[in-house]
Amino acid sequence: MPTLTFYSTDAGNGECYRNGTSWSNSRSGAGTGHGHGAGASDTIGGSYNNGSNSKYTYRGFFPFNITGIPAGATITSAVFSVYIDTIVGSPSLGLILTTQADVAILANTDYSALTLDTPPEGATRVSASLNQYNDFTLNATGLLWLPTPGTDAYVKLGTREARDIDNGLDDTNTYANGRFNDYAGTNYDPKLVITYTPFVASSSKFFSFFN
Amino acid sequence: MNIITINANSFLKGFSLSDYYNNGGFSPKSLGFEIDRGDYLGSLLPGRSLLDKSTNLSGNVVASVKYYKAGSGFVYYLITDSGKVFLTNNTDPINPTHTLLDTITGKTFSTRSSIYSYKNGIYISSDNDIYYDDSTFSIKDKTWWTTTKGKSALVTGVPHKIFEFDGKMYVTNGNKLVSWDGTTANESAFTLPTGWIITDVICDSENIYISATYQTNSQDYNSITKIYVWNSFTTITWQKEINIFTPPITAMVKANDSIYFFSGGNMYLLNGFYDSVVWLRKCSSPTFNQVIYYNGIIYFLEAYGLGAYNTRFKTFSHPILTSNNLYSINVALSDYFDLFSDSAKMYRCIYSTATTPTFYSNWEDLQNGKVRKIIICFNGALPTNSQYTLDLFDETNTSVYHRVISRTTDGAVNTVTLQNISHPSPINLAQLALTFNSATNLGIRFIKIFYEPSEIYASK
Repeated sequence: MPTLTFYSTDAGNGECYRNGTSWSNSRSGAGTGHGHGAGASDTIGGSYNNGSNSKYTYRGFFPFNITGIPAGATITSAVFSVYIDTIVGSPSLGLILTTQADVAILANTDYSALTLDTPPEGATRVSASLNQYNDFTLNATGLLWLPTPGTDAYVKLGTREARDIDNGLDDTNTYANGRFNDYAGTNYDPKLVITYTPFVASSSKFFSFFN
Repeated sequence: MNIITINANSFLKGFSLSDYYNNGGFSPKSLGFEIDRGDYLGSLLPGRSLLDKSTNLSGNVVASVKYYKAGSGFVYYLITDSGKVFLTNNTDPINPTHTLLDTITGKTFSTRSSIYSYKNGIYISSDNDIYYDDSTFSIKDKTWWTTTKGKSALVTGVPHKIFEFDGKMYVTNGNKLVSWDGTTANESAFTLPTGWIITDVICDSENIYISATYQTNSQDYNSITKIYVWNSFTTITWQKEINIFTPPITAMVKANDSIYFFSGGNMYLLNGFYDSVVWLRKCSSPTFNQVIYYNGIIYFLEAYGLGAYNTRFKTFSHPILTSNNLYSINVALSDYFDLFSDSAKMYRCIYSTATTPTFYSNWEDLQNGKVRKIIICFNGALPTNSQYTLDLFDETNTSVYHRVISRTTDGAVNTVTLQNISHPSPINLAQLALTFNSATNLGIRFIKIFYEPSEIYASK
């Protein structure tokens, strides 16, 4: 089956974070900062306790343009991969769908452009592994997020740490840093590998009729 | 059955003075443990992660200063041994960024240089001058002291610590303090007799404490070292001088009405009431950029990482274990430290376990006895992937009992009891070693060693 690899190369990929006076405050509301990991990695999910009035929650944003899959094709599987180079604690990461406003510009407001509580998850959660690509194999929910083949459209994936998804953040520093497309070189870019079955016209049945 | 208990009381006693003198809670070989961390005070915690936050940093940071910058919150200004001035933005505390602001050429910077914020300006002392910027880094005056202020070059080869007292900025300069109040530069604000060299300065609300040594023979234990107490209202006299019979003082800290100082590879306490000097422990000779005082604990750079002296419990420990060649230290926020090392590195030390240190108990006298049981109580149920290696050494330093403790072999338990311990020969002296093999390991609440002295088991 044909496979296509897409990279999240738009400037809309990166981290968004929010700091607040409590974990509840940190978790909900617009972000207070964002970054693209220029020359370094940024945080794709987790939390950081920076003092009593400074609780940080981080989320990752990965828009993919998946133009190129022929119209009529059937996507049979998809794997989203992000290269993780820093782990603190034992972060478990979930794959979610975001509604970030502009795939070309990440903004603080994108932090909350998602379903905060009990969001649909597009893959089984992944325990972060260091210095390697971490793969999220899209489940049925995740596959439904992908645009219809043949259209020029984006899927806006996101990552959150399990305690953020489950509303269970605490003072334990737990997070993972991943490499975005601004990281030096091209060997570590976030990627989405899609396998599909090309559309097969029913012509064979047509001709078989005459045979 | 006799019991040796190693618990919070032991941990908070800190290091024994040596492996041969059990006056503390455990052996000073136990590098990489924190015994006085916030909510876990009294439990034995393995050391912290050193997270590399060095991207875009070049040169080894010899001094740093924290500064509150409007719109950015707290930032660092850093000076490296190659004269590079960096701004470290901590808006994103997991991923701080370093921006090169200026490169000062033709000057020498070391851990006896200073970088300081005074009246919204940034001042940096080199070997012979003072750099100034108004913190916008549009001025970048590399010879501010000698050219702009028209003053004599600073004395080379001596510490140039910048500090502030009673609204005025001072810089140590050989036998003098030079000063700047925002209007007037004075190159003789305070003067000791010729031949004295000021090595460090600390202040409280009333006085400046000036450590100085006559000449600079750092290895001469008969050198003349004094601490001068000066109230800043005189210029060539001082209010008090205290004789300190040690080599030059490289760094001082004032805490709990006492002065702690480092000199000749030792740490001392100067009792302020009696002016008596008390030797505390052999350690390193950190400069003033290599010592911080935070929440009652003096942290100082030494071999294999960071040493600590808790002024409340009067105990030494070594909370951070690293083989990096450390240059300087500062406090980030929330009890986190930033360590600057060679290879142009900045490491942020947060509450997360990464090191795999080994805890060594004191050498215990087992009275030619045999160990029957060991109980270890952890801070919680053993988490997944946790693993410890326990060894019991006899007086010949031979491991007579070895056991790996893990979640896999022992389950998700809070307490592990090791029974049926056997070793071929009775033990006179025993030392327990417990290696923390995994970053997921929990701290320890207590260890109990049950043993039978020889008379007891012989009678059986």
